[in-house]
Amino acid sequence: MTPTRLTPFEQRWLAETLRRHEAAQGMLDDSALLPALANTGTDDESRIMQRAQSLARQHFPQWLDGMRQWQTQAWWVLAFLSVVAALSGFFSALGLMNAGAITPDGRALNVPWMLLALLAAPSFSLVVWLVSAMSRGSQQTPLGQLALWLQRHVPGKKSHSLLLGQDLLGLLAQKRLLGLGMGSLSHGLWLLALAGALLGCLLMLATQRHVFVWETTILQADVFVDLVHFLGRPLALFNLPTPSREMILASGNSHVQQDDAARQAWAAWLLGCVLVYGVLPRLLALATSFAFWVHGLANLRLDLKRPGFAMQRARLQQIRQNLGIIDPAPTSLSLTHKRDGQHDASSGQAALAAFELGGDLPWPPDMSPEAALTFRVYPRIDSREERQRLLDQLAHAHAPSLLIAVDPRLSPDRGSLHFLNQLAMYSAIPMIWLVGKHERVRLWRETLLQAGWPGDALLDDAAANVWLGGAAWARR
Amino acid sequence: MGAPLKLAVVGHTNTGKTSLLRTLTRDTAFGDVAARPSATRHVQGARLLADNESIIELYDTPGLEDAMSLWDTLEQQSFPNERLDGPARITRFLASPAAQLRFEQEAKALRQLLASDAGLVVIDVRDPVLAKYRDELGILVLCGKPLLPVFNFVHGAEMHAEAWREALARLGLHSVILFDAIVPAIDGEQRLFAKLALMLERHAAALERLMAARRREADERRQSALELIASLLIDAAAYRILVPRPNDDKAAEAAEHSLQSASELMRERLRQREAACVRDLLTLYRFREHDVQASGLPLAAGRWEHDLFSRDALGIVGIKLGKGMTVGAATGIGLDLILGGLTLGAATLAGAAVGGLWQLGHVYGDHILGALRGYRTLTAEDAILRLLALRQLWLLDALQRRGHAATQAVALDSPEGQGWRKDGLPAPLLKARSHGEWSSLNQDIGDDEARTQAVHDLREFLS
Repeated sequence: MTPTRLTPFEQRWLAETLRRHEAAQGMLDDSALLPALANTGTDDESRIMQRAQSLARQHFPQWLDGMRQWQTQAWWVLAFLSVVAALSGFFSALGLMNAGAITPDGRALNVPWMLLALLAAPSFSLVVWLVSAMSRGSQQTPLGQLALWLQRHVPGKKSHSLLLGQDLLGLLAQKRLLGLGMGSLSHGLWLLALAGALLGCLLMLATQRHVFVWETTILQADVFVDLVHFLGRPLALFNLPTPSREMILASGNSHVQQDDAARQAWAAWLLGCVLVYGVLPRLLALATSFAFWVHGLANLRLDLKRPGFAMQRARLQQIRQNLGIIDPAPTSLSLTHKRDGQHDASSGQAALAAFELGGDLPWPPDMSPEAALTFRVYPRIDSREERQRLLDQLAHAHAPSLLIAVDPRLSPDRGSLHFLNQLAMYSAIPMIWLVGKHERVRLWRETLLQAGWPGDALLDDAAANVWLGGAAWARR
Repeated sequence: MGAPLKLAVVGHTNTGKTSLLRTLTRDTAFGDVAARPSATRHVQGARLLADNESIIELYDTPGLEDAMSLWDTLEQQSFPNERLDGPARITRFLASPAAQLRFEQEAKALRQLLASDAGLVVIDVRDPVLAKYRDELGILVLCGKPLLPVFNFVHGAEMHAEAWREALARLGLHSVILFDAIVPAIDGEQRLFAKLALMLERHAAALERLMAARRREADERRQSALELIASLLIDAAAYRILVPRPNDDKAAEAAEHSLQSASELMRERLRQREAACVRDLLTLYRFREHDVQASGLPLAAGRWEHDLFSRDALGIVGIKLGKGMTVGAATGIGLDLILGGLTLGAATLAGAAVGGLWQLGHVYGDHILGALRGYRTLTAEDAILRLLALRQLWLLDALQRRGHAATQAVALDSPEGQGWRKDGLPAPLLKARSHGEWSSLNQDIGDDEARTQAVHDLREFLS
């Protein structure tokens, strides 16, 4: 176990890695974690990150090390690239300054060529970056794609650190963060290279004597005057001098000796151009993309709409919803609805009663007129008053047998059972007729059996008809 | 943000109170549901969250079963010379020994209703309005809380909704909502919350937030689900196995054998991939596998009743298997003898024209190389892709309806699926045919931008 705390970024990275892993390999078992998780954290994202962290520490501790490794390596690469950039800028400046021929007046320095050599490459790459930043095309940078291509095509075992790298790219692909990060990196490196070049130029100008020249075969001298003045205009904002018209014209004529004022003006102008056209735009671009990168990184959130995360959210919410049992069930149910006691057998008329029978079922039931005469048929029973009246009537009737028709479409409940049990006490042979066919007939039978009714006292339609016919016949 | 709205869900026994809670919480594991009375004997709570805010707390209560005797008891407990209001009478009853013994279940429900802001009275409208039900409602009204009757089982053959409305009106309950807990209307939940917001003005703003959050969640869930389906289809379309082509008669037998085993492998892995998608969809919609079984969908243990490669499965959804060559007894796996699964869709052709020959080589290189080296390519037939799409969309449809018994008839012949039966396959799938690297069945895929784009396009096509 690594006790180190993870930064929010690392937590998201880990969550993304786990999401990818689970999408490919199936969900890890987190049943032990989930209940505690559901009640921690402030939002779904933090819970998902917490889950990923716990599971990763449990199953994939190498991921955590891998993440650290990645970052260390990234820093080393960054440091190496920085040094290379600064040095290459510095030494190419040295080389360029030394490229000119040595004249008695000092080392010749072709101003237009020098400017082109120092500024062409950085300016061109800056323009390319600008264009690609403006167009909202591909989400992935060439570098990211290269990494993926390598990952796919380099043979051998795909190690977890490569997978982690892939997940990092996936995470950063959101909101163009990857582009911003790569942009910041390239601006930073260019800036270092330009700073190195500026330093190199400064060093050479400080320690060598240069003569600034320009040459042409077909152009007018005024073109150079205009060019130098045009480029020098922004320099004036920084109080940097621009060579005067005379100085420029004199530089075109290599036979004229250059005075020190002209040399200094030229040197200041050259350095100013590198500063204003090279360093400054890069600095601005770096500041902008770095600011966006930092802002984007701070606002980086997991994309919870992705199916993997959406599933976790659904599961976590399910647990968070449950408030548990507020008022527990009684350990045993009261037995008030158990049937007890029976009335003495007597010689009255068999009776028919209908308890909460649906209006669509006929009452009295279909039977021959003679049969109907043999029964005492009570009206349908529903309300409290009707129930009470029936109980009173039965108390005086002394019915030897009582058939109670019940509507099995209703759900059996304690109140009904209680009343049926009460009715049963007024007859020697109480029976219940479950009228019609319904899925709840089985339920009624179970409930009545549980309440102490014998199985043969529960009649279906066929049995009830037989009984109705038989009882009538016996009476006759 | 005030305290959450507390709602007690009350009603006669076996009217579907717990089912209502399950549907509202989208939690198929909540409480015990059984088609028998007194399935719930305890009070259990659940909260409905909007983002992280608890908006409603719902309490499932035991059913009322013996209201008539309870009325008697209430009457016995009031003295001739006093005039108590409803809540006072209920409070007195709750303090009496009867509330601990015979009426324990009823007492639990009433206690919870008194402690709540309002009650949802669940009514099974298939039942006629019996005297005992009137008594129940009367007792609930005594509690002095706002009550919203919820008509359940409104899809039943026989209904007494009008009689119920009249009976409720006599008790001063004029507002009613139809909400079938088993087969809820698509907007049923929203209408329920809207009604509550009208009834309980203090909570209207919070309920509005809940409704908005629910709509957003439903939309996000659907998008995620479609992405899962799209990903499955891309995986299946791009899946391919190269098998060697026999050079002479001697090798023919061995080649035939390897063809058989490769196609069997392919079918098994496609089955597994589909099962994984089904599992993910269920998780996303908070269904457990055995819930689905109970809901009438032809799924068993996360798999469809009919095998992906059986002619029955195709027949049910009305797809005919292509006339393409099939491998032995195996259906659904196609074998391309010429240039293995090379499908030059118009889009890819255009792309190739733009990108030049290099792209053509990039896209079809594997195929051509394979063909030259004497390999043949096995791929899943179009019919299988169609079936996969239709089945998952069908499942999604059922899940969105919190599918239960009635969903079975819904989608199999639904017009939406028509395109999947007859028209050509959508462009992203055709494209995937020539991108073996897009299938997670072929290799461990990375975050391939083109694949992500294809999944995205297909998801758009599906929605």
